[in-house]
Amino acid sequence: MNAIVEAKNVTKIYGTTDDTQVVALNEVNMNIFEGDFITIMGPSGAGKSTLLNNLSTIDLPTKGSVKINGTSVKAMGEVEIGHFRYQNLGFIFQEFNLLATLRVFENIAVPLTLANVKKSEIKEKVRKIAKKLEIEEILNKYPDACSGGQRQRVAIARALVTNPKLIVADEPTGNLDSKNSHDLLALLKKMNNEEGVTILMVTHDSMIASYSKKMVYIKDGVIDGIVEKEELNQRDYFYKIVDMNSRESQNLFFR
Amino acid sequence: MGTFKLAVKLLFKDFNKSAFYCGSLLFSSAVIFVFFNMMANPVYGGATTFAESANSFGSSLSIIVVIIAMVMVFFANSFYLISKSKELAITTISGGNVLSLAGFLFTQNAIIMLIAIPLGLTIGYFINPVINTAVYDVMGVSANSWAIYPIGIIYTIISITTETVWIVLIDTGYAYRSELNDLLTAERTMKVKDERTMKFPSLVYYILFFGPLVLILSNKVLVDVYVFYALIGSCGVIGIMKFSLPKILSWFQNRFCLAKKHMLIAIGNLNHSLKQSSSLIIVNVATFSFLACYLCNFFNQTNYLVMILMACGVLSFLMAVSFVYKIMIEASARIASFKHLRMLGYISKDIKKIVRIEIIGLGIVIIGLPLLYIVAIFYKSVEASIISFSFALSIILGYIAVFLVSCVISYFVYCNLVMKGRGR
Repeated sequence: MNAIVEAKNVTKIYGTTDDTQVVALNEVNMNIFEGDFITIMGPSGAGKSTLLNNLSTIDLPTKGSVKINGTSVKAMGEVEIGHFRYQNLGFIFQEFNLLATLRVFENIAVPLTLANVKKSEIKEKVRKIAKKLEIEEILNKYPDACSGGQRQRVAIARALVTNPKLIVADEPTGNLDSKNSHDLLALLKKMNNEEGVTILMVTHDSMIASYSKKMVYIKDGVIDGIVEKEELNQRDYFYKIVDMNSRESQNLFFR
Repeated sequence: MGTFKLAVKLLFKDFNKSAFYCGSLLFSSAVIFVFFNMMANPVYGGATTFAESANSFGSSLSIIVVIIAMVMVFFANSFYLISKSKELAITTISGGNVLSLAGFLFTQNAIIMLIAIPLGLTIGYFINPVINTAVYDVMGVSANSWAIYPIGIIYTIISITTETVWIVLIDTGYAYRSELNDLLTAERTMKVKDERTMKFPSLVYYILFFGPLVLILSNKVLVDVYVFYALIGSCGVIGIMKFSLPKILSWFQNRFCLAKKHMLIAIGNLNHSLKQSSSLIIVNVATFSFLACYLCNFFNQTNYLVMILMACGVLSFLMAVSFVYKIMIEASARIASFKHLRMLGYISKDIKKIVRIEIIGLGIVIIGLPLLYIVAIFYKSVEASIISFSFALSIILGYIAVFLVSCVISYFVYCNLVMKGRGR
């Protein structure tokens, strides 16, 4: 199977002088295949978001390479990156990142407009995805007039409306209550299972991570462990994730 | 650390946040000084005593100039308050109450004013003879260009004191009204609330704005009455800007821009900016309509005409600077939005085009709405031979030129703000 994203020896260093330099990622190797649902977990400052940003064209590694569909991200110019993003990627963030000056309808339509889709088709696709996410009644509202849960659904609708090859989600449930969080994850899981959408997600919540197929645990900028769901049920997978996350604490108790 | 020490430390540590505010105070002080001195100058027919000045033509003109100078300071102060909101939030979190927030703002304001106002007055003192010499040459008059008039100084002190008290009151009010959460998000919030107690249909606003225009054009020339018409028209602009135009733009956006990647974003931004700039546009319509009436009324009285032309120049400049401020406030609230657009696939070229469309739209409204009244007043006056066609044309072109320059500056300031630290 061909990898959608191939990360080879990815190192990210912040700061310019020796005394201010921080190694956020150190020689990380990772492949993402079509249909994957991968969660990245780890303690604060471990490099989770840095890894996500480097894998999704938002940031560039200091050393090493990231290839998406066989093309090196470093070799892409601004125009190519722009095209690549609206053709292949869908972003979902904790802060929703909706455009406050556009109504919900237009917010969802933006990636389609970028892809030069016809007006009639844009209207049809926006309505279809809005129906799927149960946000039809707020299409004419501005994001400020919507609840947190509704705004996150709008962000998801915008991320999915172009049928992207890869959905990138950074703490997508960070601003949601428990019910909305599980609704969102159930939806992402359904899309992954039924439509084969590839998902790469950062979370600090083990319960949320248990919806994925694979959990990559990162610590001090390196991959410290991987848990795969395979034939496990969600509960057992959840316990394995909790176990991985609490390994350091356990070592502390049983030292 | 006490509030005073914290305020002083933060002010000097990040002085560029207050630099625009300081600059606008400096500039407005210079303008107020020069203008009041001109109004008291007998060469221009100015009043040299309080009794004369109470009924003089120059006093009414001065009031308009001073109000606009204060409007500019108000915009600069809003920009300053927004940039300081996080510092105020930190003071609140650290246990500060309304009084300490007010103290924080008062301390910073006092320092800025102590720097800006004396410097502005000094600059005004040195600019005054330069302007006088140029105008005396045009008028063919020989007089002392450096002359300073006590009545001008007294009015300058009164105006600057009023301005200072006003700013302190506004800032104290801001400290009193703002919730912690509002302070934390003030730099990136973009909410506009419809706070009308009575809602009128859009037609009412259109009648209020276009009705006086029709009356100007269809009746025989009555320049004195035009001031009253312009006042009614300005009331119409309030509704058009806040409620009618946004509806039209939303319809236009939905009907024609959905498949156009630049227009879709730019029209949404323009809609928001127009709502936010409504007060500036209303002041613009009222000010320039009044000045157009004054120009027509005193076209044959050279000394008054010189004063009005000076007022036109100063006011155009002040309004244009206020426009740039407004754009800066808007752009700084949109930095995150433009960052999101990049993540969606927009590139630098697209972002510049979006900004360009928005600025062109804003420019059309800001220049166009007052221009309708100016052109109507001048058209009737030229037709009745009250003013010459070439004079009317040069005033109109001058007015357009000043605002076009401010649009160009706004475009670069806007792009600079939203493209800063853009990454990939």
